[in-house]
Amino acid sequence: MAAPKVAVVGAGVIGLSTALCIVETQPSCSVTVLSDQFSPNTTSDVAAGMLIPHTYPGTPIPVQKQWFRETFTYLFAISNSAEASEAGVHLVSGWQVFKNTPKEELPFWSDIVLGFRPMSEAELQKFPQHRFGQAFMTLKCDCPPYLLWLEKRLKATGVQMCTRKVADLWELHREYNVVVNCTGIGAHQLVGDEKLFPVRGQVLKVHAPWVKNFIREGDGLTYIYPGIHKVTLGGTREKENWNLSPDPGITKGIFDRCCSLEPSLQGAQDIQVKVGLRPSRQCVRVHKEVLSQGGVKLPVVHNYGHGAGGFSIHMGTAKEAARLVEECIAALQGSSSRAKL
Amino acid sequence: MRVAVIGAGVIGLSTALCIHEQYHSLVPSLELEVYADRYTPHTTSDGAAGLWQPYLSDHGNLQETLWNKETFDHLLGQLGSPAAKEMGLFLISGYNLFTQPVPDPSWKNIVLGFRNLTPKELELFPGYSYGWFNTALVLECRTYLPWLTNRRLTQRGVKFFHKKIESFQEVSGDGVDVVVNCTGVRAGELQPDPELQPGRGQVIKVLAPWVKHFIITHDMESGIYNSPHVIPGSEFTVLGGIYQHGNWNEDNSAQDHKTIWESCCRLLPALQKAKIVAEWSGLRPARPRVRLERETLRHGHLPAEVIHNYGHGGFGITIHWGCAMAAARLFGSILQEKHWASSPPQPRL
Repeated sequence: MAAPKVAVVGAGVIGLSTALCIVETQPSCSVTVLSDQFSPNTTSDVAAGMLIPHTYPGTPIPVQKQWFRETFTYLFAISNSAEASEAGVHLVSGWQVFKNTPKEELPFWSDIVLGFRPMSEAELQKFPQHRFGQAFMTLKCDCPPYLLWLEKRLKATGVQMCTRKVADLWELHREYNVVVNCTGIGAHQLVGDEKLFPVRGQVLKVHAPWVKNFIREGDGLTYIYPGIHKVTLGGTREKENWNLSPDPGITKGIFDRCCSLEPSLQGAQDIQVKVGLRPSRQCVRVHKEVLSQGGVKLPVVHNYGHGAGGFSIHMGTAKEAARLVEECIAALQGSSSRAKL
Repeated sequence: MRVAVIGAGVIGLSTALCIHEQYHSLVPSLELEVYADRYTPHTTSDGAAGLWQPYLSDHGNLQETLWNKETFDHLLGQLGSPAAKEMGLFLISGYNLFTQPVPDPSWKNIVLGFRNLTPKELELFPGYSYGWFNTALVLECRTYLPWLTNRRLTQRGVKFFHKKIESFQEVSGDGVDVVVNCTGVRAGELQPDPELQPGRGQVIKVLAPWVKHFIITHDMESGIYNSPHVIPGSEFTVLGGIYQHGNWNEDNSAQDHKTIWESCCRLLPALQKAKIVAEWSGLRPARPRVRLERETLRHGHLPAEVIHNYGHGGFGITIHWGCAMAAARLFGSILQEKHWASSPPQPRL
């Protein structure tokens, strides 16, 4: 078989990182990224990109922890290099505060982030409505810079980026040997996955450069995440809501909730409102299958359904998806050499 | 009653404010005047990064530690108010790095969340084997001094004069009842003080908004501030690492620039792509201890009351409010002695 041709559908953080892993582990492959949207118009661009994992009820915790660890290690190295500013990757420290002491005091990821510890009494005084808190340092991937940096690295290895709306994976079977489905919320329609549902998130991106620490309420609904140029204020979690238009009532609600955590935000300027649909699922679908139609086979590797935790585990799932692609190619090469006999 | 404050850096302006806030109701005729040859943005305070952090050791000077604490607590209390942004005040967390274990500093319980660095965190800083992490404050004087001037002092009727005062007599002979000497590094021009020396510093201001933490390194051999440090501000990040005792030169040095840039980029590789926007040199008013005391000067037949408040070295912002309050208490004692108040000053806790 000549250089295997791989199509990666989707150009958010999952599509681009998966394409990069494939290119790095299988240099003989020719990889093309196909997507109807590229940065700054992907779901990833709305997200703050904070490495604070979401817990998937359907995926074993050790697997989630491994994915998070791989992602954290990879980004940690970038944050400490000359590439950091271009890649948009930086360390940020802060606090997670609870109005009531949580049942589970130590999240599974507490030993992967840096310096995780309970907040002191003096630190909690800054949050009079909260009785308990945790302080730690983690990483943030700012978008668009992170996605643009991934695109740049991909193009440097010869990967093509094509703006194209794929309505059916079978469209691709003549041009490509393996298809990698990183379509996020798009998989609901593309592969008819009924288990995938949107969780609508509205955020504000504001200019408040004096905010240097993150603050997050334990339930994850209210958060303040300082990025390189803008601070992301959030948020909402609206299940099964497909509406991409900003809601002004929600905007005010987010702003008020964040100002009560951090009063200096009253002075924030240049407020922009964004909406994204978290591609949510009980478990992340990282899985290979071979589609079959009229005697023609098409190997497909799925890598979608990361919901609220895409950035936190993207490298881990990208590596796993790349391994599955390798298996698909090996199987194809095995059967093609059998065909030659 | 006329009071002249000489000097319009962080010390002069905050002292003027404390005196006025506490005594204008007791002394209805109180007229406060500020005299300075340099105003913001040209004072020493304006060049400082503004990080609240005392030196590592207080040399047994408990008084200074208490003034530092008063300042921190006062600023922390301002954080939740809308004034914080207008003051140029915000919280910031960061690292202190060492090449060997050191005792905990006098301020460990003043700052928030003080802890040792974990081994994983130290991996970020090859060459450093020990360190601290804590949350402190930045108070940017480029914003704070105009705020003190426009939002506090001017409203209170304090008058400002752009004038270099050549001697205490110049003001006391002119009918000023109390002179407050906040002249920083050039206090020796008004009254010789061999203990006061310039501690020359140079800084490079860069655009690096991806850096969210301060990093102060310490080299026990080269001494305080002679080791690279990175301090993010609200707009720019300040890179420094120069302390030259006895050097009066306020011009930027190319050699110092190279030292700062190379050592900071080695410390934090993420700085390599940062754009340089400015360079500045200033003279820290270094003294073995802060001079905060009264002096009665006798010129001719009229004694002049002077309150000295200078010599805050590289920790002026860190200690300013505690010193301003102490200077105001000295002012109160002058009022009491001279029966200049309409009623005795109330004891202050």
